[in-house]
Amino acid sequence: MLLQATGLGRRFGGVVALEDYRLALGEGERFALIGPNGAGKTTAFNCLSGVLRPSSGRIRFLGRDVTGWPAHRMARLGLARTFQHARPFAELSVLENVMAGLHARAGAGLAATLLGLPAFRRAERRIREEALAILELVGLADEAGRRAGDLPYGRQRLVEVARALATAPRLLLLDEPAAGMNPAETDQLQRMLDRLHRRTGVTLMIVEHDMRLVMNLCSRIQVLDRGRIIAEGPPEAVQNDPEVIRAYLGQRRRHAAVG
Amino acid sequence: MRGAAAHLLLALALAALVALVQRALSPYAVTLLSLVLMQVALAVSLQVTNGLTGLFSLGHPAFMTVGAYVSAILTYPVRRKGFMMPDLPPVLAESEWALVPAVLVAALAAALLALVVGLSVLRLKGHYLAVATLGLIIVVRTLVNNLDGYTRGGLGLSGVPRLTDPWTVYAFVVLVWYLCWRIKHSSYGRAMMAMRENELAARSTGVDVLALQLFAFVFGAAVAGAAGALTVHLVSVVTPGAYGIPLAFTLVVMVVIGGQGSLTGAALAAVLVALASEALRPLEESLELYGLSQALVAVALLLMLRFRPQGLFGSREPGLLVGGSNLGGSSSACPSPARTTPRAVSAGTAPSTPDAPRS
Repeated sequence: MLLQATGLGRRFGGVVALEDYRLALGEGERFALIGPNGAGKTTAFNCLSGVLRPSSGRIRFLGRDVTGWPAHRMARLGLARTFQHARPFAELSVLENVMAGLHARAGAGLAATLLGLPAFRRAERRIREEALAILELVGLADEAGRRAGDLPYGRQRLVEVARALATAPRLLLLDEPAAGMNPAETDQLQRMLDRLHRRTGVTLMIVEHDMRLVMNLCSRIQVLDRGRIIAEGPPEAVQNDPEVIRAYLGQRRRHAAVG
Repeated sequence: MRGAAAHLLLALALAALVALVQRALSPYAVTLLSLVLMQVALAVSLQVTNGLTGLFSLGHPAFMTVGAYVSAILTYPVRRKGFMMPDLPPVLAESEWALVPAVLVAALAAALLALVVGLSVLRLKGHYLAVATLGLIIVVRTLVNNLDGYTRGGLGLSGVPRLTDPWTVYAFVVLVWYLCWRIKHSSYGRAMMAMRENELAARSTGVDVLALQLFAFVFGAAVAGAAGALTVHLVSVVTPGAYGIPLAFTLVVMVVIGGQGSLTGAALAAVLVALASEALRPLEESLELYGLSQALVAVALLLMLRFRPQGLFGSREPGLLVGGSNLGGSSSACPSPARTTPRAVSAGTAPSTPDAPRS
């Protein structure tokens, strides 16, 4: 088991954003978390990735109890994520965005850096090479030198994926990766994620409203509504689950595409 | 390697300037040059503390004061120590330190103070650091004022041995520049700028934000402490209020005018501001308009924020200094001069540059 969460809960004042959330992810899985807006999907992501401290429950990742770990330690252990709204390091180039993601894993020590020792040069060379390889993989190689803030939104989302990959994750959480992308870009994204999964075997967990992407990409789906899990299983089963249909249709949500 | 050559050339040119001024010009010009160089070192180090990380520290004057007094006390002639500093413990009262160890201890003292302040304040978000460091300036001044058995209180310490000459200052500036350049153009520099751009995203890529902020803050304090120490051995006097809030303001202005994160920009802005203030001094005196130079600096800042909010250089360095170096990082001049140009142009004509300045 790669990641296991039990009884996870998070409240904001009196509002219960997430309750009794559980998750069991195996190595190499492709998993989707869906649900109407405000269902608690991003809260679940935030708790799993250490951005938010859960109010209750436990998380185990790679065999360790990581409950309450801060985000940077989770990232170093092997859990990377992207955000619902793009958060590129706008003033840095695309390449530097990815290189920054390699700091924790491959950066030289402070003494070597200040003295410009060979270890520093080696580390910098390795960081640059790995970053370029990642840009190649996600299809951003041509834009390596551009300022990240100048890219179109859809490309910025890819920069985030590349930056997350730079931490060499075992588990990659993608929060609405296709948001702000046109259909062609979404197709590209799907092919890229497929390729990535094939090549690195990284476990993928996505929150996504684009059901085509979810159905094509993932083999298991979990549905959240008002902070609770209402269904879990393979895509076909979830699609026909009456509870799921009610959650989407009952609230007159537009993305009733599940049905 | 072109970048390294350009740096070497720059260092040599600066050395030539120091030699020339020393040989050909008045002692006044020599002191002025030393003080300007000192401002450069201060501004460049603040660029690491504030510009790269997005922190907003005003603490440099406090750390300079600490450094100046520590070094002054350590190096003071033993025969006058009993009279000037009656409360000194015997160990200190009977020893007279050399310049280098005294400056190192001064830097260390400032760094320790920064560590204590940073550990307690950096956990808070927003501009708490600005408020806390502003307070620190006042706390340090009050302490120095009241510890008169060590510092002679409000009278200040005079007759501090003049152990610094322009060459010491020169070496100091070169060292500070070297260290800051190394930091910026390394994995650390990228991580710092990453957290400046977006703290949450930086955390999520494994950057230990608190540790890096603490490092940047302590590093800047150490440089400021050393600068305070070297200055006191240059001018031989220090008073509790010598380095105060106006200086904190001026240094921050240098960082903003230079461009947040640009070492070259900060250095250039430091030279401009320091020389302009000095040039205006006679005017201030003849018109009896004291503070005129500060008012003009403030106006310059406002104009800058209005018409070129990213500063002279944005976050970048001139391509010449970065060179075709294959060191990897080259954070600043990553191959997009194409980007700076249109921005520079549009900032001149249409002031509504969208990239809102942080801070």
